[in-house]
Amino acid sequence: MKLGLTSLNRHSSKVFALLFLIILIVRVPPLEEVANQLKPKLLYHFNLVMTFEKNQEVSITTFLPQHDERQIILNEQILSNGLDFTVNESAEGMVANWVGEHSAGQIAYRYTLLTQGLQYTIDPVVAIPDNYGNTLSQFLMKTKNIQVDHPDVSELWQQIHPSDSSLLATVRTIYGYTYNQLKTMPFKGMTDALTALRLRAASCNGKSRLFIALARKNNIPARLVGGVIMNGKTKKTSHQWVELYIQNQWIPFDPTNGHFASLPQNYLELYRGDHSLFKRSVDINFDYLFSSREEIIAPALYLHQNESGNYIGDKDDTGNNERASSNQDIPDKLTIDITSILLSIGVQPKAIGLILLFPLCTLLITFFRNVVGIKTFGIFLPMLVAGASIFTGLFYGLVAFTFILITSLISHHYLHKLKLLKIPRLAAIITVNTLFFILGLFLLKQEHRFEFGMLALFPIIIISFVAEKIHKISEEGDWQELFIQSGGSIFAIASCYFLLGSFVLQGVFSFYPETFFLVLAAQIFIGQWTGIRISELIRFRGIFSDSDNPVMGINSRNIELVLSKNDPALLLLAADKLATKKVLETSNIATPKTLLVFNNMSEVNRISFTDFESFPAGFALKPNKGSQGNGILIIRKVANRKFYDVDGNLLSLTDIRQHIAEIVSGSFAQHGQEDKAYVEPLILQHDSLIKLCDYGLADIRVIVIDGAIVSAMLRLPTKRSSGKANLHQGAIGIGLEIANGKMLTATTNGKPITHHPDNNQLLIGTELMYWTQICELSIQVYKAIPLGYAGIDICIDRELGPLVLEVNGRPGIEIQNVRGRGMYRNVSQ
Amino acid sequence: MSLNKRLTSTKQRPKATDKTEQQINDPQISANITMAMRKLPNGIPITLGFVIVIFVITIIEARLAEYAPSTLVIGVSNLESDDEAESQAQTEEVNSDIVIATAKEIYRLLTVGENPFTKDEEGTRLAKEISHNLLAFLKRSKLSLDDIDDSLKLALQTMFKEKLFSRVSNVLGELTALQRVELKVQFNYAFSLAKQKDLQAATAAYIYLLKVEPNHQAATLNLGGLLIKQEAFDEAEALYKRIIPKLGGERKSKAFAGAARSQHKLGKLKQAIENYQKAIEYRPNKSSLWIALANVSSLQFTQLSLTTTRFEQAIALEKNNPKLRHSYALFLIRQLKIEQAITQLKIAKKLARNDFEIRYLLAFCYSQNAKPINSRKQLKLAEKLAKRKSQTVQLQALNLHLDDEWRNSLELSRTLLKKSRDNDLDYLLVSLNYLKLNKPKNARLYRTKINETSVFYGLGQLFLAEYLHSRKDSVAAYNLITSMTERFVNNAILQYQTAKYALDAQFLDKAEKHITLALAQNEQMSARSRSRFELLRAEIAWKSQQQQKAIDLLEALVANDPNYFRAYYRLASYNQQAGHTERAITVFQALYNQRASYSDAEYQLAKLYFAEQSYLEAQLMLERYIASNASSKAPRLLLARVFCELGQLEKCQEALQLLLKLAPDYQPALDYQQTMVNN
Repeated sequence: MKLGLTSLNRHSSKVFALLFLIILIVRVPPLEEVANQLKPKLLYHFNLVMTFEKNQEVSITTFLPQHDERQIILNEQILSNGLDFTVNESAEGMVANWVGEHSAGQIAYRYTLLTQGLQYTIDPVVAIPDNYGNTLSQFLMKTKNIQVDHPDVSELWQQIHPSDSSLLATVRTIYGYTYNQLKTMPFKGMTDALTALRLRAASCNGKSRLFIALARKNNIPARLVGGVIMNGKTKKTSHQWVELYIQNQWIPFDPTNGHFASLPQNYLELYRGDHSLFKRSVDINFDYLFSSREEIIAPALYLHQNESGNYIGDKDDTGNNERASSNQDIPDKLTIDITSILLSIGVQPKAIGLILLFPLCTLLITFFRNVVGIKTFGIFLPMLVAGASIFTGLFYGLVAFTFILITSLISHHYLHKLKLLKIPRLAAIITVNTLFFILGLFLLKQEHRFEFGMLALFPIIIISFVAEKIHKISEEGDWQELFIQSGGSIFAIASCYFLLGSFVLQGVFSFYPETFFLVLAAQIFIGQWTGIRISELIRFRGIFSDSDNPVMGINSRNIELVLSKNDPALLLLAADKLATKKVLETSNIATPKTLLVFNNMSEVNRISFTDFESFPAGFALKPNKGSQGNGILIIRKVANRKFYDVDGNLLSLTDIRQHIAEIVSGSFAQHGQEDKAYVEPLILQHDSLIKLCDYGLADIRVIVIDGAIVSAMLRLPTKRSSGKANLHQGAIGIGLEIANGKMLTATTNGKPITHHPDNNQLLIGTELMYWTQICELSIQVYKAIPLGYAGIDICIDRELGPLVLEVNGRPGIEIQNVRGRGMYRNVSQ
Repeated sequence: MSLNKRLTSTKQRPKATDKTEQQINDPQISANITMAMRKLPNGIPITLGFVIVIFVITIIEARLAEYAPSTLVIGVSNLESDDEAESQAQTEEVNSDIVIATAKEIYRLLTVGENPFTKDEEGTRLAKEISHNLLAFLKRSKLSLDDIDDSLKLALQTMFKEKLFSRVSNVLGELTALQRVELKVQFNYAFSLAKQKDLQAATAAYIYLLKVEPNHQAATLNLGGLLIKQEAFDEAEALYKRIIPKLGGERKSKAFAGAARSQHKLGKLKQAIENYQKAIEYRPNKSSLWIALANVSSLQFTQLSLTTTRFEQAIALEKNNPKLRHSYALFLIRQLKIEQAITQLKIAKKLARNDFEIRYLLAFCYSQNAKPINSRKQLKLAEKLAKRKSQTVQLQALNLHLDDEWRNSLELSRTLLKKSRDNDLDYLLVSLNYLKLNKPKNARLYRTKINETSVFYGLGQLFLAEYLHSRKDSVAAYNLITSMTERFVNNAILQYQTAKYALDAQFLDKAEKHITLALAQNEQMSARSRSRFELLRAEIAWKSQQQQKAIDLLEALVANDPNYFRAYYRLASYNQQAGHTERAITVFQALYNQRASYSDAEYQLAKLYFAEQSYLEAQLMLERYIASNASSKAPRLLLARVFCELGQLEKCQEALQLLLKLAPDYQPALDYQQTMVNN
């Protein structure tokens, strides 16, 4: 059974994949149905903003779009800012009126809508009726601006009338003249029919009026229709076209843009008749702007019909849902539709998309990290930023992300100088970001505030945390790393953004939720995948060709070595340097002495100079759970109540106390948890190593797998690494022959060298002193702390000889580059 | 398991521990520990798989997106339709808070919909009483808002609406400016003053209002108009420019128009044109804007065709505007298109029969277009319309000019010249008279007094050029006229004239250039005019030694215009000179057949026949010709020779004798006689 479970564990991904397939096969829908389910809808987001002089009595009237078969209003928001708002339906349209006095000086009307394009065909045999009912008489009359009976209009018709008197021919002639013969002019004012005729030029309203005049002259009822063309721009211009009453219906014609018996989908109708779009009080400096935006959405979103056949949309800001019925029943459908379910419980359409696709996003992130090797700031931060960007748009989302990042860095830099501890520092950064955020909301125009409000979610907080990490990288001067992670983050954000915006995927996950199993299967698969990442193909490109010594990647290290061979408790032990030292000392393994330990802040507060008086020759102050040398402070000399670091800088007791406080508060701990600080004697490097490098402390990293030494390297500090023996910071790695400790290969920054860049000392060919002791020490350490895969760091003290500095439960794999050959052959199964 | 147990448990330790010492001694062992050597897969296949999946999804999405109902991106559509609710700029609702207790009757009448302020006696009395009461109240006491009644408030509003401005201004004049502003009647006050032509006071009132309400649109617009009337154009321009961004619709158009008017007066023509165009955008129905645009545009010397279009557009909107036609005619005169100017002036005259300026200008144009009869007719009709002495003198001067009494005309015209008047047309007449009197220097002097921007400047240049040409100084004439042709490239007739002058000055390549330009114009001109151009072109070609080209041009010309006898004559003549005698005879014969009496075609034909020894035909031609031209000498001599050639010596002698009788000193005849004697 155990074997069965183990096998099941190993094949989990296949199990879930199979589950997905089975469910899919059972439900197998026809392709046509799938296509219908996935076919997207085109949505328009429309915004009308009206401004006027503040603190004035105002009255503003305009037309709102009708809700009918052609135009479906889904989501209405009315920003009245205290003015009284009323809507009345009339024959001409929905008349909205704002009245009152307010200091805001701005009102707005926003809505989302679905529209349909129209195309009519007119039978050529249709004749023009002689009579119409009384209701149509008004559409045959002359008016002040539509001079049906004027001699010039009659003369024009005499010149252009067709021989065929059918309705279609007549309409074509009128259309042909007004569309082709009248030049389109950018007039902003009203042009009557006669002026248009005389000038042989007009804008849309002039052309339309002349069209109507000629139509009415031929006993065809005609009316003016006004509205807006939604072309994605912000503008002030509206549009007018014509409708003719033919065969008991009003058929649209646009002689300006050339639409014969048709109306494009992006034409929004607002009113009928010869009206002005706005009526308002005088002298209020009235101004307005239209803006529209298209969006292709998954079909299930925004559209849901209840049993009455009404469309359901979101409620407006007053809680009313005047344009559609509220509270619908879930329709009795066989098809699963998660979107409908979520909509019915009131989840915002955009949020539904996020809910459905976040798991896929996580898969994408996992793929980027584990398969491609893209580094990002924070693991799932890109996903959160992408999610917020769905509301703001990718560009503004990235801008906001960058802005928050920069303010975080600046805040961090400033607060760091104030010597704040870690948690208060983070809290302060979040506070600063929040203040900037609020300020940003004030500066933004009202219509964008909701979208940017979404950035108040996780991203601000998460980014504030990430800033800490970025600050560290920038402090270390590792600009290349910073650049790589920045680029990786932006790439990941953009990828997640496009994925979250995919209507196909939304549709797939909505109608076929079994797809989540597939995602799960993929996540498990990648989680169990031990292959080489794409980035590692580049990183280890120099040694890939050696088939006798295949390269081991991070995935393999993590799964086949760390997870398989290292007991979690022992990993914890290895992470705790003080505990490790205790165990090693118990096993009589040479380690540097522990002089002092500071366990908590109260002990830190009690620090005095007397604690350090007895270390005139200097000491090393270290974090217990630090890594990569971070947080280590080396004091070369203590005299006259002053401390001198390796560079000769003077530090006070306060500085020392502050540093210890930082350590204890967890600033250098691997996972940011509270830590201890301890003091060791200053290790004086052995002469054989001083010859190679006379500053910093060189150490030897020995890789032990299941008690066998498989690889070893000597790490020499350089000026570039600021005296630290960290390869990624610029230290030199020298590969050692296991048999005799001979220095075989040397690299720095991934490039092979033979001499030290700072002092030109030859680095290869000699044997390391104390090699046998070092090997013995390594085995002893294994016996004391039986980690299946460990990296043991050993230094050589001038007087004491080899000392174990620390035991690493997750040693890196760069040693392969240093050693010039892969390590995978050494992986035990 | 506890940590200690983990540390001490032997079970956890792999067997490799036993090899520890061995491996230290035998380093090769450590290097070879385990296992089956296998290479790890890399991420490329999975990445490729992901990429393919993403690619497929993207393709599906793109294809499905096509099924999202398509959208059309439509081009330009412009309509800024806003409408001020209820009121217009000039009749702004009075938000008056002036309330005075009286006139309940007014209130009653108004509430039942009757207008108490009718123009009859009762209405006038009532208006007088109300305003008197208002004034009395204001004079007698300090204004107390509590005492004011709605009825009088309404009365004041109504008086304003009924345009009883003097009464309104009287009432409101009793208040201080501050009070008027507080009571929101300062606008009405200013407006009423303006209506009573008290421009300065109205200006001050508007300025005061704008200090308090700087964005008062109606006040700003009205103030701008007042400033223009008072010729404060800079201030008006600045005012309009300031208010334009805040306006919309019709008001914006008015502001643009105001700014344009100011700029026009300031000489900023380009900006004025731009602003008029913008004004038109907002009120394309307003013909006055089109007219103003055309007029300003005509002041520029560039973009003449655009100005012409603007005039035509303005005329399309207001066909029956005589002033517009007059302006257009002046524009055409500037371009030296006299014929077209006459067309416009004729229409203007019909529309404004009593307009002296139009008739006089028309008469002048006729006089310069070789139509003296028409000119005199107009002068006669204009006599009845002359209201001032200067106008009568103008008519007399032009009449005298038409009668060729140039000196008298000159003296009369000179009396018209006064500093305060626009003297350009008079200068022109003076200059013309001097030319007729052969005094080009004096003519030049008066011509230079005509401003270069004047409508009549070009005419002055043209007259002088014509004069010089008539005096055979074709070079000077050409140099003078080319300055005009450079300016009015599209004037076909001007180009033609320049070509003639160039030809006469022997600037043959220039003549060719100008006649080509003339022919290239698409102006509407008669076929005969075009034929004249072609004829000149042929002449230029002939003189440029391109004889065949000249002949070919004339052949084409006569084919197109068979009634153009002059072309026939020229063609025949060129053929004759080129030695194409047969062709010359044919052409002359054709001309003779159509118009026997044309010039000396008969004689020329006779000469050709004589050269061809067709003496009988020659005799016939000559006898006919001499019958119509009895005093002609050469033909008579030729006839004598014909007789001699035909052997009719007596007739020959007779003819010779007759000739010598008519012209005793005619040497060729004497020589021939001598020859006969000798022979």
